[in-house]
Amino acid sequence: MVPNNAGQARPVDILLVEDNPGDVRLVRESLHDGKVINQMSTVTDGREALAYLRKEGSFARVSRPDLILLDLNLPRKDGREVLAEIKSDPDLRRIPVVVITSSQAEEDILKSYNLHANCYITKPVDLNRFVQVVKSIEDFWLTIVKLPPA
Amino acid sequence: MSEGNRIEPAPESANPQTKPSLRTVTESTSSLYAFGWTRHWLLRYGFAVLVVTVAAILRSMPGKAFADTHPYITFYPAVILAAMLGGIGPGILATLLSVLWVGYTAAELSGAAAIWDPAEIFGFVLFTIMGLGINALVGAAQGSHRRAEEALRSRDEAQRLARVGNWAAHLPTGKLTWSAEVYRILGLDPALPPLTYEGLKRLFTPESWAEMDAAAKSIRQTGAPCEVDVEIVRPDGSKRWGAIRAKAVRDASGQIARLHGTVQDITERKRAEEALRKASNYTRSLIEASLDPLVTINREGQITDVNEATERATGVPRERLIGSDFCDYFTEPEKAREGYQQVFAQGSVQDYPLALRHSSGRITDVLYNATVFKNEAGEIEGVFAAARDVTEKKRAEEELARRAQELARSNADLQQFAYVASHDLQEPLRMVASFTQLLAQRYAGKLDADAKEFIGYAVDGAHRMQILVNDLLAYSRVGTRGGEFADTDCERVLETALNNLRMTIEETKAVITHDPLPQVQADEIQLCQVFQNLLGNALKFHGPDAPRVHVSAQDIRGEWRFSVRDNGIGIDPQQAQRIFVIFQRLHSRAEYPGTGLGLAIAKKIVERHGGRIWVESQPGKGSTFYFSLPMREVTYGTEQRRASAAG
Repeated sequence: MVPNNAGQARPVDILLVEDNPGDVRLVRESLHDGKVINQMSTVTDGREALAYLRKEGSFARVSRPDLILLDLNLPRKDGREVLAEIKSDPDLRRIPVVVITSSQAEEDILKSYNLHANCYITKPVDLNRFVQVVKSIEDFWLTIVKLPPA
Repeated sequence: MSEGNRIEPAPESANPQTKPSLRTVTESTSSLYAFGWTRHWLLRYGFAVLVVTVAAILRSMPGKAFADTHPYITFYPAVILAAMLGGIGPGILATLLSVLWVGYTAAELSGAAAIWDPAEIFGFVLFTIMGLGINALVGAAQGSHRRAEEALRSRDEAQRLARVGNWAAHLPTGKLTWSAEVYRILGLDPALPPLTYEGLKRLFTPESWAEMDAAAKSIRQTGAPCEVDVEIVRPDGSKRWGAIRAKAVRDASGQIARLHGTVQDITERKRAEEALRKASNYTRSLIEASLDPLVTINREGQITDVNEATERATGVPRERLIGSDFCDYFTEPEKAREGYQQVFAQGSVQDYPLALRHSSGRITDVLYNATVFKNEAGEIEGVFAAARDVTEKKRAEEELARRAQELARSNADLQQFAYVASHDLQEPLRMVASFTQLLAQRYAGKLDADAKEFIGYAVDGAHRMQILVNDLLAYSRVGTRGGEFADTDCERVLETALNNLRMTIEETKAVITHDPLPQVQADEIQLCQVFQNLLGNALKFHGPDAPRVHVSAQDIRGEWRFSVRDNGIGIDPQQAQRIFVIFQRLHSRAEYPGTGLGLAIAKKIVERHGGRIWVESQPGKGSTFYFSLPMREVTYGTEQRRASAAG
């Protein structure tokens, strides 16, 4: 990957925590022609997400992601719990977590920020806007923001 | 004074003025003295001279009727008459005149020496002694009679003051005798003789007569003293009350021979008693009329008085309640005991909760309010306790609590619904919208016009539904997610709303003006929503001209009346109410997009603030939306702003 002159000097890994295959597909479609992404991994529930991050079990060989896209409503372990665990883990808490969810509920927004989410995004209904939003995430977090060293 | 004294068998022979029957000694002059002491002294002395003269004439009359040997014989009656009818003075005068007369005639007949005849001297001395003796006797009689009279007078006076008269009845003859006070009490003329027993009947009410008659019969049989209160109807029709006391007097053989006793005028006492009875009847009826069970309790916890409500609440009759233990009628007797002991200790208790147990087992929840009551000496006599039946209140409270709980649950449900609406409903919507769009984009070249049109409807539907869901969420959150009311500056709120609408304002080239706006007590975020919805509405439904909107607020009878006036298309007044109803639309979506929830949300917010919202409009002439907010308190800022607005 070509290092972006404005941001990262290296390609980044993204972990998408999303149980809805439609959304997984939409995110993948949106990032399709991205230049800066090394790899996007997907897990579909909260436990898997934490196992992935802690390189447990079958995830022993994965690399730690540079950015986490986290849905809130997840099976087995809720996105809020996952967020809480990440942000209370000294090893993991510096990884930016973008909460991207269908929920517009104020309590979800509030709770996410209280749990130190790095940002909160509501998934747009319109496809084009959705694509735009995901691209914005990519643009902002992967090219503008200076991420901590891996 | 003995009973016999009150009736004087008048000495008829000596007193021509004395009535020839038994009568009361009421006239102080009715005695031996036919003539008054002062007014008639001439008459009395003249009478003495007269009787002596008569005696002398009788003495001088020829014949042997009066022997010379007893010269004084004819003068004795003269002296006696003069002394008895004229008094001591005339009696002595008569004695002197008689002695002079006898001496003179003896000297004339037999010469001066005859006066010194021993027989003459003896006659003279004897006559003088006799004359003085008669006078002394008469004087003594007069004195004792006067004292008797004075005693009678003072007794009558005492009787008059005490309003007690006395009476006697001689049973064998049925003759009645009364003192003056009895006449007065009965309203009869004292000059008249007492009535017969039967004649008395008309002087009493039938009930009183019956009572008295029964008492009279009883005393004649048993001899036991008796007393009856009777109501007297005087001849003039006025009514009095008398207390008659009677005692039997037996003769030597043990037979009841006489009754005697007293009559007391107790009218005043009876009237006072009657007034008291009426007053206490009044109090009593108040006590009985109370719907609250009322009781009085003594120190031992015994019930001393109850009202009807207590009988109803306990199902126990008054006779059994009184004297029984107060605590017996409660589900928690010990608590009841503690309650009244607390009253004795502290003087009162308020709203002391207890449960009364009806004899049928029914329980009545009550609150007791009790206080001690004192006697005239200021000592605590007992406790007066009033129970308030709070069964209904308690049930209402429970019902209220139940409803509050229901409301809380329904609010929680609504919250849950709101969450579901905002999240779980959105996701499938997004899937439909996104993938139909993706389909359209990815396969653009392979789809015909129909396919594109159908996809268009699907996407549009999904979008509309999303807005709808969001609006519904907002609507449901007005009540459940509202914040506290705080001092809110309406001008700042309006600015925020205008800021939120900036895009639309720019697009429509709208001109929005406002008057000075007050400070109110409100949920700022919600109030902003109201302004935003009303302004948005005004901007949306504009006519051919660019929208002009004016916002103002007026103080009308203690509430703020806000208005948002536009120059838009207006509303048919007949539709004016519908526009505030959820999902009600007056126009097709094609003409004016929207879910029809904006005004419904505004209405809900205004109502949550205790205000009203309405619209005045004519089609084509613009609309003015009004909403009111109660002034919870006049804030300083308001006054200030008004002043500055005026300036």
